[in-house]
Amino acid sequence: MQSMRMTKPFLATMLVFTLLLMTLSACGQNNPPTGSSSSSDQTKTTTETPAAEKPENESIVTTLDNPVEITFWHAMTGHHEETLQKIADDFMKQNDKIKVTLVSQGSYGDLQQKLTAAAKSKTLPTMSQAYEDWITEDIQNNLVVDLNPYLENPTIGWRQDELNDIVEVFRNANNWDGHYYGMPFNKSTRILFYNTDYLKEKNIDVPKTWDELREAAEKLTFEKGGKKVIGMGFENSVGTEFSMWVRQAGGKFIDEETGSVEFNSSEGQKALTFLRDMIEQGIARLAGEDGYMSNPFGRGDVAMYIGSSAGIPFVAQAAEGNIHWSGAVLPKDKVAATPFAGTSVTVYQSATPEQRLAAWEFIKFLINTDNTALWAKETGYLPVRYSALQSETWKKYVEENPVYGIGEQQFDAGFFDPRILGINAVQTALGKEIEAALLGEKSVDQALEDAAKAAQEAIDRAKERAR
Amino acid sequence: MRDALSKGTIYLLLSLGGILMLLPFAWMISTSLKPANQVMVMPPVWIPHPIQWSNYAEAMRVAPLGRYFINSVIVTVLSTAGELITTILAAYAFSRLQFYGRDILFSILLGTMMVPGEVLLIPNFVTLTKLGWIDRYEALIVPWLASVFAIFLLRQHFLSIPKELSYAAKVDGCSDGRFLWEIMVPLAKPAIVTIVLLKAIGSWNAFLWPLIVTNSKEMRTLPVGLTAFRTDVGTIYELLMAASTLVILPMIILFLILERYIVEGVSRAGIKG
Repeated sequence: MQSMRMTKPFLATMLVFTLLLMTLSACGQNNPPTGSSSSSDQTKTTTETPAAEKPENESIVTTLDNPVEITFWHAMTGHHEETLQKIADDFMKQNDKIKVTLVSQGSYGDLQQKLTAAAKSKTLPTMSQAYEDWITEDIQNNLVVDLNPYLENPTIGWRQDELNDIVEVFRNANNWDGHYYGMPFNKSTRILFYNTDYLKEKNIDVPKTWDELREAAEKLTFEKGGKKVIGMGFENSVGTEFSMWVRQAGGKFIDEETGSVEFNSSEGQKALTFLRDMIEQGIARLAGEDGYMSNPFGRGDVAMYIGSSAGIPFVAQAAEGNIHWSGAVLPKDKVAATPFAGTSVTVYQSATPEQRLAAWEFIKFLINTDNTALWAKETGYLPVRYSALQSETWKKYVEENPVYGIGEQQFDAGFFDPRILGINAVQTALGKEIEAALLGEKSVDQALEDAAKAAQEAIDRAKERAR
Repeated sequence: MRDALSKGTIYLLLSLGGILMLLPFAWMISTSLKPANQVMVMPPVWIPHPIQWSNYAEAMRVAPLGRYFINSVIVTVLSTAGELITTILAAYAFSRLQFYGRDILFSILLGTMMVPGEVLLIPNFVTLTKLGWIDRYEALIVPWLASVFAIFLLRQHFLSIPKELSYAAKVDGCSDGRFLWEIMVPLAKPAIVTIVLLKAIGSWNAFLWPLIVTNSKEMRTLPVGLTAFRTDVGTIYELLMAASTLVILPMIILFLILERYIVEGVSRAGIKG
């Protein structure tokens, strides 16, 4: 190849022109099709208008005279998407003035990127699935609708008991200083999966505490027909569920109010040491190359694991014809602490008053007693209403499928991760440092210290940017 | 005898390499025909029993792959053709025409390669929104009608073609346009094929951009369709592999047809994909 012939570039001019040319130029079309970049420190929208006093919708529309169309962005796929579509179809049958268009936007990470782009270009949908920490940011940027005027309205709102019917931990997760900016939709929790064959064979009761868990893992690490069985398994994302372990040990994670990182404590050390020791002893492993623990668990390589209740269908599929299994509430240490995660539904201020009303009506329908029970049955997520948990259909369903009843047994121990800006970056840092400790690359103290430092920096940076 | 031996060794090594390369594809096809509980077993099952053809039907049912396929073809063909035209013209201008500021312009063009695509994502999205192109073919195609890298690649190729050819053509009264299309382009065929392939593969596999600029199922492309088989707690591998097989098949056929040019292009240009 002949060498490039370039006259001496006038650097300054060139840079200016380069900046000008950065419009529609075609670099980097081949973005890797991973899509799940949700954990990385995503490009945050900087505040365009300072989040001053919100000109909140004091007067709202409560009746629809003309047909209205609303768009709902979500990250549901496969059967989940079909179920959501069915609920939307039922809704439209009952409300012939409202047309709901569901748009699947890939994974949660993809959805978040799309929402960021849409917020920038003022093309947000009427409503979307969103994690609560996204909503926190949207509140600061004045993008989301305060739902209080709707739910307090005597004609279209909820009575106090209807609101209180929503499971407390989910209700609180959507409440910012007394204002609801979202309603819980697809919520999941962590449960302990175990192989009933192995537990029976070794005559072990389902572990209820950390000590019992370690003991069980020790006994359940054995040779079975030439195959090595490992007692306990953790998802690769064990680092992002560290808040659960710290809380169980009696410690604190991150203060939502002040944004101060508090997991670098004796409880944090205890939690991380507990996890690391089990892995070091060879009685526990990470999912590693298997991607998700449901795979090694399903083929009988691992006797127990802690994972998302949303993964139950995957466990069932992987286990079919291979093993017998069941689930239980999480073991506890000093305290019982169970994370509840998953997204809520939020409405954007770009919607017209009529669209906001239609969106509110759809939210009410989406999580009414029957539909939240139907949704839970079809997808493995949790019903978000106490009345749904009490319904005959749900009770009968849980009787037939006991693992789906575990989530509700641990509502009292439930917590949700702090809904603060920068939490994604915190999770990334935690994931990295915890993994380093579990793989023996760093000492427990060092990993915790580094994680706490990185987490605090991420939070402070996000705060600074939002200002 | 010794020749035969060394030939044998070469074939053996090449066969081993070939098998290594084919393994993932074999695995993909095998997985696409498995019942769910055989996907992740140890030791791996290579030949599924029973062979579950219904995975393909199920994959097609879960995602409208037919529609996605048509969109992928439209987007790939048009953006590749468009890029080819802009590239040939630009490369010719930058290598053969004399005009004021040519080399500075070219430096600036190269400068844009230093801007990572992710940075441009949101500004580009905003621009397209203002043009009203979101959820339309324009958004999927127009931003990709020019590639700086392709222009650079072809320009270098054009520079390696002796100037005497163009002098001779000029003397014979050949216009710039005719000289470009009838002499330069055929001579640069390996480079052009390389550009076409890189572009076609990139466009066929593009994920983030099509996802960002489309909203309706009717406008989405195959890679976006593949997300239907992934969730945050697990992947439905057998369906994903069935769909992936369908996605990759056209690329393999294209490769088989153009194989000769690809090998030629790559070995001459020394460009790694």
